[in-house]
Amino acid sequence: MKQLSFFSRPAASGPAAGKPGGTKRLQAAVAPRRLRFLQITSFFIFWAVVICGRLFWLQVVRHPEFVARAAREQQRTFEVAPRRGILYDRNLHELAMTVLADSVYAVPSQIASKHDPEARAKYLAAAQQLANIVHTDPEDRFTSAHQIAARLNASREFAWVARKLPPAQIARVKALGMKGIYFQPEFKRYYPNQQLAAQVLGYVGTDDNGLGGIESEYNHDLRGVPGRMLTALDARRRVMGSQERDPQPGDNLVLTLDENIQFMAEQALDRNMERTHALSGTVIVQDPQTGQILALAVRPTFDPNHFRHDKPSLLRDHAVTDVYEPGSVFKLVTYSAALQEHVVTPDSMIPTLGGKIDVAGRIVHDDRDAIRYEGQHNNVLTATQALEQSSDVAAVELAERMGKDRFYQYIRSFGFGQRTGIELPGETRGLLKPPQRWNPTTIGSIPMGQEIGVTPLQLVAMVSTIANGGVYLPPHILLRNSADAKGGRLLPAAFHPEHELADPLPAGAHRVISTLTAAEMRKMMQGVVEHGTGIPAQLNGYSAAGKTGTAQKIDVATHRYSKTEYVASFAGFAPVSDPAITIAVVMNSPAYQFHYGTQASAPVFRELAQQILEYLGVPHDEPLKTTQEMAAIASEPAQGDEPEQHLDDLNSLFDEVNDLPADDPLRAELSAQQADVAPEVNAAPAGKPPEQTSLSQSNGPAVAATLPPPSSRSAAAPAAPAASSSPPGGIIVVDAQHRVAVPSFLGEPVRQAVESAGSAGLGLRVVGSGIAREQVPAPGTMVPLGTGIVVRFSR
Amino acid sequence: MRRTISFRDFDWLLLAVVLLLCIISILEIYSATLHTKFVGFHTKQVFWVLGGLGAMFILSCINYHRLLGWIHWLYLFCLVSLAGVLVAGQRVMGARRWIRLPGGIHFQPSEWVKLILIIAVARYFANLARRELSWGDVAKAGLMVGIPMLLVLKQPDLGTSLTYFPVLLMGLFLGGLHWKKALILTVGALVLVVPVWYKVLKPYQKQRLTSFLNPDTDPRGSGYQVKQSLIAVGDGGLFGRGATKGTQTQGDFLPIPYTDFIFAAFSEEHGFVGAVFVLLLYFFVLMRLIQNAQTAADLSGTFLVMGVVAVISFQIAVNVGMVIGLMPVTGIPLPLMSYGGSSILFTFLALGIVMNVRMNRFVN
Repeated sequence: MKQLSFFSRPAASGPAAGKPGGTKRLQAAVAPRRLRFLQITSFFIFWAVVICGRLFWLQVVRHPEFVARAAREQQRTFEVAPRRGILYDRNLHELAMTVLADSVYAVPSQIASKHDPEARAKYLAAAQQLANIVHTDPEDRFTSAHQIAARLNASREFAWVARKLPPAQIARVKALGMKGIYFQPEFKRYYPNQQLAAQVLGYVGTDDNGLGGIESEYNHDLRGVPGRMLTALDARRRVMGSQERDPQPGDNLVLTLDENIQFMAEQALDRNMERTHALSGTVIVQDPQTGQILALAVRPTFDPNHFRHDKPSLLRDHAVTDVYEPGSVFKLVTYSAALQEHVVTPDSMIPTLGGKIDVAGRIVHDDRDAIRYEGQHNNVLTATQALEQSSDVAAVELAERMGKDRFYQYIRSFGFGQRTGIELPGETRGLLKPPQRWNPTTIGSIPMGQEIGVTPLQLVAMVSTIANGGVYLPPHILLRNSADAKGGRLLPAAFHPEHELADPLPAGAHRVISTLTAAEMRKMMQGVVEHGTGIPAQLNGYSAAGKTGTAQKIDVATHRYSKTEYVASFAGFAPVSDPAITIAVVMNSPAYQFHYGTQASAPVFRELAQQILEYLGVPHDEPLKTTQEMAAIASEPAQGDEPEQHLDDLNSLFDEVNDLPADDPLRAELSAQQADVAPEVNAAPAGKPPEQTSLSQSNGPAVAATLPPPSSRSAAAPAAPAASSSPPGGIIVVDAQHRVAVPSFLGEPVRQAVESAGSAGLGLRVVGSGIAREQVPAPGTMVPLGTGIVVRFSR
Repeated sequence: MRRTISFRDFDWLLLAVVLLLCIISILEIYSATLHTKFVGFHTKQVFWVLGGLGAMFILSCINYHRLLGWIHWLYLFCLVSLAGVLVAGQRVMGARRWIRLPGGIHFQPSEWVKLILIIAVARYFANLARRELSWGDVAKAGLMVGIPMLLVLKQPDLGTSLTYFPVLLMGLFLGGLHWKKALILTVGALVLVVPVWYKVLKPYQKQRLTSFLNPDTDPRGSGYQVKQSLIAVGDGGLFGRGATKGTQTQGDFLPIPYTDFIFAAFSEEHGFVGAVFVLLLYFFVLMRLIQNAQTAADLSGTFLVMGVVAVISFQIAVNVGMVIGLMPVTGIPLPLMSYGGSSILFTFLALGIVMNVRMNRFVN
């Protein structure tokens, strides 16, 4: 071993060290070594001086600096949450307020010290005990025992147990008397009316950020400025709190909504959702003289106090984020423009050409049974009659007289194709093509409300323009700006219908049609309610005016119109001579027998307008009718406006989406739906067209397999009737016009009902679960193949 | 002729100062661990000190010439144990430094290697003292210290392996290395540093070695430790915040205030005056050791004591330097004050050898 050879010589001479002679030599050698000892000692002294100098520098010279740094380390600044501003309605009733709610937190080191081998088990046990009380919602993952335990393990000093609990749970947690559990009051957003105006108000997340509606749009103003709290820890880690800056509360905002009108609107909508089985519905009430929105109700809805449970789709405010084809309601724009441009007068005759008109090779028909020609003038209607009967041919004729450019100017002027600028997030501008991009047939579509996408809000603003004498007023939902609301200068804004428009006009307002034209339009619209398609909208003691609309829904999957899904709308105002309110009602996909605007939406107007006018104390302008007379009106078979016949290819309208601004909600919506639909289309059996499949297979289940699922896309149903003779489960009657009699589903479980509907060539919309109790349409009704039958199931 | 050794020649004064330092250490450990999970470490330290005292008395009874005679076997044992650690050591925080002995005792062989190297270097240079050191002698001495250093570096334990180096340095210096050779060696060492820096050292070691220069560049790692140490020292002021009242020590801001940073904790609680007092005690210990080295009966005794001086002074300089931001964070404990059995045991065993040298000074 090489290393050991280091010692070979010393090992031999080792004992020599003890010999006197050796000692003498060594003593001699030590002498020069004294110098080296001296050098070592000096080196030590040098080091000691350096270290002492450095200590002096740190401990004496820079002492104050380090004291400050130490103090800064011991201090912690916390943000103190400001109180969020209140949302008031126009009468200063709270719609959203901020209350104090206790949150529970733990100091884990007081529950079990970290080096306790059983700390984990102790934490888990404590978490379990707490979760038994605070974990009330199985979907809430924040308060599960597992999560609480994880937080306890993660920190020594602080762990949230649960945030903003109701007092009853706090009392139960306190009753546990656990060590290391503390309570901290925190602000919690509270909506005293629960669902009332939920889509307008939005809601607030746990971190005090508005996440929808006004709460999101005005988050910055509502939040306020957080305060700061400086907390110092002393040597024993006692917390000595001292507030440094007070938080500044957020601004209070006053909405134009009237809590009571909003409540009435929601009630009316709820009742009619129930009656018509619509998928969704929107009601907007506007003051036509100011443009202020008095109520904005959307169904289905949610409770913003418990937003966590709700699907994001519920949070959308359909009134501003969704577009639909308005259908006949849009004829109001056509007629207003035509009157203003003097291409027609209310009494001038419009030849309806035998109920059809050729637009660039496409024939637009009127439903001849629907149009009641009065007098001897066959095939000729006055403009007033044409509007009352909702003649498509007349509307197209008027538009052609104006020409597309002039017509387009009016469409824009009424506010379509642009954002209204309402104080709500996510507004779309709708779909409107500039005239240079219109197809030759477009002039035959837009006059009757096709090939154009509008929001319910744009619709109500248009009708208000007619109601107030021809001035477009941008709709508003915020009563005054936040600067006014600061400093307690909140004045109640009791509703007084102003009979004159503000002078000068507010920003964004402009005249669209003359006062005379507006008056003519009001009279014609009154005719619609008195003896046209709008009879179910008649009020008791008030004159009313309006227009119905029924539009086929666009099937996003196929870019075609649905045969069974409609959007039924009504827009009107009352009283006619001096309108106090404008109401727009849009019901999405009501059940088949209610699919006309006349049946689905006009009754909502009647209920709601009556209530609101009486609530506002608007004087009656007509003699009150007796109960019998009202019942007679209700039972009168009002002629519904037929949905218009449509050009089947909607690709050009969908292309319009590409022109929308990048932040338009519609853009994402449609592209998402299309992406969603595409795989289903591709999923059709390859090589065989669907019709062939259904014809060649005669047994029921196979036919059912080719039918679309009972969903909104039933338009994709095969055109040819299923040649099914006697499928299992009942007799299917198929008549010559490819109509089938609706079988009875009553008493069947869901699964069986779906199967028998499928074999009958019908779609099925399942409501509820259990046994079929009710169905619409009734058994025996002849309906087109592929119609969706609504069946209500219950246990 | 050979007089029996007597405890009358024992260096009682040195022992008294050492015990004073130990008492200061135990009180400061008590204070620094008062509010932590390490509460009660000061009683363990009492037992380590008592154990160290016992070991010191036992070793002081063994004639150091016998230790010098056993050096082949001791050195061999040192290499084997270091190799053993690398093969079968306990892995703690990614480093193999500990050997588990039967009975549940853990020991760091790198600690006793220090002692063995002191003995080996003392014997080697004592026998070369009659002539000028040749390059061969220097190379052999370098290998003798360098091999254990590399083995410890491999554990990896940079701090401990560095403490071996002053032993060699002291040997060469006292062995009479010519200043020309010293100059060449220094230049050579500087040249060698470059490849070692880039090839041998791990990134975290490099970071530790440089972050003291600018603690704010690494506020989470060792820079954080340096920063907190400086704040604690500076917070102490002239007279300190008083025992158990140091906010940085008690508030869990100062890292490991009972071992590596005990001097910072002491400086915060007892201020400039207390810190200088402790440094004076250390200075006295070192001066007393040097005196004992000069009065040793023979050269090997001198070299033994000076080896001990080299290790202890190096540890004090590096540890205190680290605490006051003059040296990198190397994890070297402060002898006699930092909590820990291995360190205390080594120091007392080293003192035992010194005591024996002293007691043998009149044996002729």
